[in-house]
Amino acid sequence: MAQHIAELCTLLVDDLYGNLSSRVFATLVRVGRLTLGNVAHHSGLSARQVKHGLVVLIQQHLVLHSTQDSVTHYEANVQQAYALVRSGKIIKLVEDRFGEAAGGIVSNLLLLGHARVKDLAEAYGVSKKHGLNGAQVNGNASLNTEEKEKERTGSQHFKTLGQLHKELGRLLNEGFLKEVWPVQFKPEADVQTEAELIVTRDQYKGGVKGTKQTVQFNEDVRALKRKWRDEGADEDRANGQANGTKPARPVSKRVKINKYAMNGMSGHANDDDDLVGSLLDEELIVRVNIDRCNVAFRSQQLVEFCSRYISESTAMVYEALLQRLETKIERCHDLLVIVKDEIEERETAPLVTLLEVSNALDKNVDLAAGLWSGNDNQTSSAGSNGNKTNNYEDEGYVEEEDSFQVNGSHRADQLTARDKMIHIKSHLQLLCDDPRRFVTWVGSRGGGEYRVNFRALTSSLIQYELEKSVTARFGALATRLVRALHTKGKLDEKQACNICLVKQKDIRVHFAALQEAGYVDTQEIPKDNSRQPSRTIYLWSFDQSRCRELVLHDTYKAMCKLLHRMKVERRRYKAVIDKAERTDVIGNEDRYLTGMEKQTLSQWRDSEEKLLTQLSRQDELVTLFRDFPMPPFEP
Amino acid sequence: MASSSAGKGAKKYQLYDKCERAPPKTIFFQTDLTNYGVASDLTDLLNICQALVAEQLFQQLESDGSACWRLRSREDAAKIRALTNDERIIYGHIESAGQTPIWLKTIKRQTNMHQNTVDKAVRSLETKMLIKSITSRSRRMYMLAHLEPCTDISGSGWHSEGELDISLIEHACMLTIQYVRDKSWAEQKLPASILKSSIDAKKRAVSAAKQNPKAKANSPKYKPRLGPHNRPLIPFPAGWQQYPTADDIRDHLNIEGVFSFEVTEDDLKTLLDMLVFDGKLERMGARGFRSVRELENEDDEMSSAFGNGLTQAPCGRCPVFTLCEEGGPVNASNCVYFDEWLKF
Repeated sequence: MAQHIAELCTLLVDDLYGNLSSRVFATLVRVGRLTLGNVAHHSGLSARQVKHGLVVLIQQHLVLHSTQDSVTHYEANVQQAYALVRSGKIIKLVEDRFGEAAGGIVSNLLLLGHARVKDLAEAYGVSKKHGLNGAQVNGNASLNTEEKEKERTGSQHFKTLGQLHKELGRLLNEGFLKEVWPVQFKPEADVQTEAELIVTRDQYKGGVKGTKQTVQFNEDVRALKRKWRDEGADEDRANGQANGTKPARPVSKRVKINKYAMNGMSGHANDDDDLVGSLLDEELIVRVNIDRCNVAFRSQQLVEFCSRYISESTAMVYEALLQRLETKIERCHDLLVIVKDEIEERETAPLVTLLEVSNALDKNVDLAAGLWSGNDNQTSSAGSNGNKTNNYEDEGYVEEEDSFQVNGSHRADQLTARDKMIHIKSHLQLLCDDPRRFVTWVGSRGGGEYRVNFRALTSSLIQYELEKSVTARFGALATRLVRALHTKGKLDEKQACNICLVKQKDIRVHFAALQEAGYVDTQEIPKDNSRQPSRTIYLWSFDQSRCRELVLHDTYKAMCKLLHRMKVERRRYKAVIDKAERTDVIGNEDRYLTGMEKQTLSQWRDSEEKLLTQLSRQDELVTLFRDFPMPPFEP
Repeated sequence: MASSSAGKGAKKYQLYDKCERAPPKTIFFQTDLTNYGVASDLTDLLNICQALVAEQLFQQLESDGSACWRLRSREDAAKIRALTNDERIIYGHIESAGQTPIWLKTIKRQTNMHQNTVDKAVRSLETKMLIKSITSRSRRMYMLAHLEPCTDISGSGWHSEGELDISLIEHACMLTIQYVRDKSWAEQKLPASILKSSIDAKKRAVSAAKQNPKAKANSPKYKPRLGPHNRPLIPFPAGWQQYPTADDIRDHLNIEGVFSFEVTEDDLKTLLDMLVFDGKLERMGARGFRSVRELENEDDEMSSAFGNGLTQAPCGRCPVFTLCEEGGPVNASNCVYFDEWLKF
């Protein structure tokens, strides 16, 4: 199974960083943890070549390394390699939320792996780096030219250093960028060993005894790893890696960054270079924070889920709520925090209030659109809900009128704060009321406090996607069976027939097809020791997590095929593409290309775009199946 | 003496007549019978009941440790009085099993009679049309002739002749969905003055979309079904109490449906559960049902709402997907499905 993800990652690396890097990467993925010499041996490259390859890969965080007793081991970072396919989406996301300039920064950082603030400033301020123009990070093919356009104008996004710092500060503050620490270059296993060593040395000199102590020990190790992950390691600070001028920092850097950014923003320092110079540490090294992006992707998918089942306008309110919550969530699932049970999770879940949602909501959103405003146009008391509804009805209409003239009209502003609150509250109540429980009401502080049960929602979202796959592959009846099994647990054929109201002979066909594809399982329970089929009960069952893994790996494989096919298509149209990419032809297409060639070229572009679109949609599935699910509770 | 016994006889028929006026299958407790005021005191009442039971006009039952009685018709009573002792005992067992048919072997075990005696008694009961036999899971079972077997044995109302009646179910589903759908979503209502402005807004949006081709890509993925007046359907406010309940749906089906039988609560529950599993209905609150928001493009295989990124790519539905690998007989370069898909 793992071969598909390995193949996929290698293809991605090959696509972006060329043959040498991909050969080194492929060796590391295939064989596992290796030293330099071994990499050379397994890949058939010279040590010099391997070093060149590794430099690129390490800069991109695609290879992790750790040195012990002067021997360095290298390990492929599959997660990061996979994230290459998501680059286009990340840029789009940041662009949509923070504007083109921020998108430009993120796109550059994705291309560079990580960068020092000073270097970034130089690249933007003094001269534009030529390397930046190649930023076709797997985006949409048709966007490539557009992207280039943007890159060229990229340097114009920031006129002053202050603006750049402000934008960086904002992204750091929102968590889309994060500071780089040496611990991030280490493989997970090494971090674990090291943490265990340190904890043993400091706290458990006599060794760990008994189950109780083991539990405590594991928790201590996790705490140390958390500290490293979130604040960087102590020894690194001593090395003066990130910040030599300041000695030990008691507060976490995250908080510090917040403070800086806040200062900058409240200062309204538009073009004031001097003030801005102190905004961010020049030596700070930043990179894109994939975990944070995944949180944002989760919000996106949930919003879409909501717009499928409730309505577009409620989905917009939901979007505001989720984005507000995002600032309080660092990652979709934290493996270093053990949650015992649902109750603990519920208590630790971040909350969001109605006021916050209202502030975060885009002013142009038509709040009244998705709300029912009463029985009749007349305000007579015909409405069964009494007086209150009628008042509300009136308001509803007034606002609807406003909302339709949002474009260029000032009337939307007349929406009083109270009305706005009432509307938002109704939307939130709709979200609470839906069988999928998009939000949960917690209390009435701040106009109403809400919580989102991500675990349950992720599970229903996964179920929804799996069911869609089943419908597309096996038909609606199969979906009905899968749903019944998911709700009721294990069922024998007769029970399934009675629950789903399907004839036994029809049910067999579907179960067989589903079982062949691995979506459902059977369990045999013999009634006695003879184990005869006639004396055996056969139970059918559906296991979401198993099924999820299955579809995930299928998706990896399908993505490989798309990339392969893209290569094939490129080879097929090679002559024309080569010609179109000649420097003298670019910009003068009309002069040099014949009509026939142009047609072929557009054919190729169409197919490439189609493949890339599908790739990005399959990536959505991977995000859902791999990055969103939370680990099961630990008892 | 004679007069008192005659008086008792008169009394017992008096009581029987009064009980007969109650709806059939009523179970009478001591207080009920006392309230008829036939018997002068408790002993008298007990004596009367005893006499009625002996005449098979009353069937003695027990509920929570106290005795209670049920009426038998005069004809049945007469038939039973004509039975032999063994037959009467067996009849009692079969009767007490109610709607659940009872297996011959179980009768034998419970009565502790000889096989032959049981066989003979059962056969004689059957010829007298007091009991009937039912074959289920290759077992011969018996129950009272006038009762219908319970759903465990015969299947639910959706069965006919032991098989699921698919067309009947489909008809019932259609009626249910239609009924629930009409009560689940409100159509957005716009006063006339607003309609005009909304049209203007739409026009502006359309012209803006024409100028900016990028906006086209942002068109919503889902196309929800519109209401009867071609306006968007929106949810009722939270806590809406008027979503149809199972009772409402049952009443509707029993009035509108052309079923040969009365749709029972259990039958309907199965049907509703099935519709929930089918993704047609969803539960709202404790009792209500709502139709799932319908999309116009969900069943269209070409729309983006159908399936997902995997199933719409050729690989997601490829029959030889497991065989496909680079260098193998099937691979991405010679794939016919890809050719077809890219051409489309």
